[in-house]
Amino acid sequence: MTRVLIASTYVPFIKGGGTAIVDSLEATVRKHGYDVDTVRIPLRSYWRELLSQTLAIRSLDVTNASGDNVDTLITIRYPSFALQHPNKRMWFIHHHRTAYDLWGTPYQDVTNDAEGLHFREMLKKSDTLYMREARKIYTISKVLVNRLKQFNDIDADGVLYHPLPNAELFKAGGQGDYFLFTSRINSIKRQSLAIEAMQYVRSDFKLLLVGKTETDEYEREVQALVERCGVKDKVIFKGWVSEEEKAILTANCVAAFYLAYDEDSYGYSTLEAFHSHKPVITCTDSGGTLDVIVDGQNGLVVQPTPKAVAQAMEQLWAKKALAAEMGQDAYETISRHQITWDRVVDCLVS
Amino acid sequence: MRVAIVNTQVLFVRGGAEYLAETLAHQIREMGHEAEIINIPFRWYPAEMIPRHMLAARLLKIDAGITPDLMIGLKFPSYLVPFPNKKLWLLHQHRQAYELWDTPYADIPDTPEGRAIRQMIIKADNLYLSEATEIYTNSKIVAGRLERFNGISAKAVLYPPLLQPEIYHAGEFGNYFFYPSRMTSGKRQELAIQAMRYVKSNFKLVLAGKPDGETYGKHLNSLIERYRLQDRVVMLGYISDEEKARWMAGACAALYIPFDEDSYGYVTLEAFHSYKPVITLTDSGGTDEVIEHEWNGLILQPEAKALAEGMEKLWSDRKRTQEMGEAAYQTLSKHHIRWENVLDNLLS
Repeated sequence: MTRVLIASTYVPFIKGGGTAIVDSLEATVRKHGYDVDTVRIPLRSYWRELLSQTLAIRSLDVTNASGDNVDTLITIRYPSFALQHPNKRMWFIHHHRTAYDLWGTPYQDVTNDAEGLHFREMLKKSDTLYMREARKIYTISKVLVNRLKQFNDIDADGVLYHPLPNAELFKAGGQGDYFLFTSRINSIKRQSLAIEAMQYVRSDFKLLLVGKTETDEYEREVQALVERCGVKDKVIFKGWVSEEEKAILTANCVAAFYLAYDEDSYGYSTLEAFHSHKPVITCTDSGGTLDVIVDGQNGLVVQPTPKAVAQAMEQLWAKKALAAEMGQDAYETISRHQITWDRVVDCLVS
Repeated sequence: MRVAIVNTQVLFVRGGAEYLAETLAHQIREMGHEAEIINIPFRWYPAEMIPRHMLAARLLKIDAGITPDLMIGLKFPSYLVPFPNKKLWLLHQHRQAYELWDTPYADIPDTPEGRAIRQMIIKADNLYLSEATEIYTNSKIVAGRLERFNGISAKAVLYPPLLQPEIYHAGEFGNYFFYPSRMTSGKRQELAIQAMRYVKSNFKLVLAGKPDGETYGKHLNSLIERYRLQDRVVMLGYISDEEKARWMAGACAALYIPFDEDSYGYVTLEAFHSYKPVITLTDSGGTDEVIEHEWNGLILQPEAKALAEGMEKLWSDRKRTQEMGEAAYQTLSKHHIRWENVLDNLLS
């Protein structure tokens, strides 16, 4: 039986510490009849300790187990691609971003001095070296294909969108009186933009926010914002909900939001909306969502301003039949982009 | 409390150590604490692979985002991971560098390079084992080796209990001897098959478990064919715990005949919980810490003929065998094989 090893890094003791995609891939590959095992290596992503941990990963050997060869290695989160294997395949989800695309932004944590610049050079060199060993490189979005080209001068083999782990839960439903925003609540996901938009809304619909606020401090900020905009009656915080409840809420919204700033991929909530036959409102600077959301076709792509977001909601609310048509197209987007586990297995294993 | 259990991962293999790590995590969670298992892969052949994996263990960080309150290390080389509050429940060191050196089971070559690697392992243990605040072992034999080879005293022996003892129960006196275990040369399923050549009575040998690699599984099958034992030896392959409990309950007795193991093995406990005596061998290692010859099992010479005779004896003297099964069950309380005992020490 063909032996497939999946390798990734993760942060122990944190739920969703980068392992959801690994768990789903492992289950899928097993379902397809392969002998599969997974290596999950703890990684502290503090930049000063990154290279020594890369060396640790490079030192591990995963080419053989109990005398039999491992046929295929699939690497997911950085720097698991530092592992050596004659048939190494990467499913690339992101760089150590603060040394790459977030360099020069407020998110940069590497110091802007000789040490920091040296680290950045070393990291790029080691990443590029180990990536070049891979027989196939797929990414989870076009943004990442571009970043690999720009920073590592590597041509990826293509985009392999990651499907939903539990797609069967999400089904079409009715059109309720709310727009849905499902995500961890933090500044980069920009729930704030949707909240501010609600002050310009005249019609009688609501904004439903599903997800936990990441810090107590941000929770206070969000509450203050709701207060300031005078939208207390129009914004409902659902907090954390079960997957089943989330599926019901998604099935019955008018449309879903994904307004995050410059994401690596389209995000699970976009796919949840698509599976539920719902259009998605996103922003021109949201990054990965633009791979799959086409303005006016399966959603709306608007400027990242409260007024533009308000206008988008009003438009879909006024023309519910159009929203439903876009929802149908949203559902078809899944097959148009071949967002299926079968394709993932085809590209990574077969 | 947040506990990181750090274990060594052998790719595509699930055996006693993985099971122990999972049960330990489960028991810690039952006490209302958080527990997570962190696995670090290890390949030890050819021998030059060993230092690479030791280096990796020293360079990895288990406090990646949230710092645990306690690390519990189990096996070489993952117990080398640095951490301030580290306790060890030592299952074994890298045995090829210690008591297996100079035996046919040693796979580190006796060459200048091999000897240097062996020294490196011993020195790393001497240096880094002492970083632990407390060291427990899973058997007297492991504690004894630690003392003998590294001059380090373990605090106590904590015998590992089963995860779900309640699924094991007494049953009929069946016409087979049961040996459920990972299939690998060290467990010596081969010897059990050889013994069946000398058996005259009409009982069978039932083997269960997944072979570590395809090679050993094929080897066992070819032996069965060569000796025409197809009707006498049953290979079940991998079975669920529930199936295992059923097979155990219906056996005449259990076999656990590895070469020089560090502990008595889960098979022994599964048999004890099922009121079955266990046949083991004089060179099986930790089994003689709980198995007493003619009381709750048999301890035999490591030869196919002796093993065949032992099975014949248990098979023919049914009453005596059932008495030994009663004694087998009593052994559990005699040696305090309880989770409370383990957790009291590790979490204190």
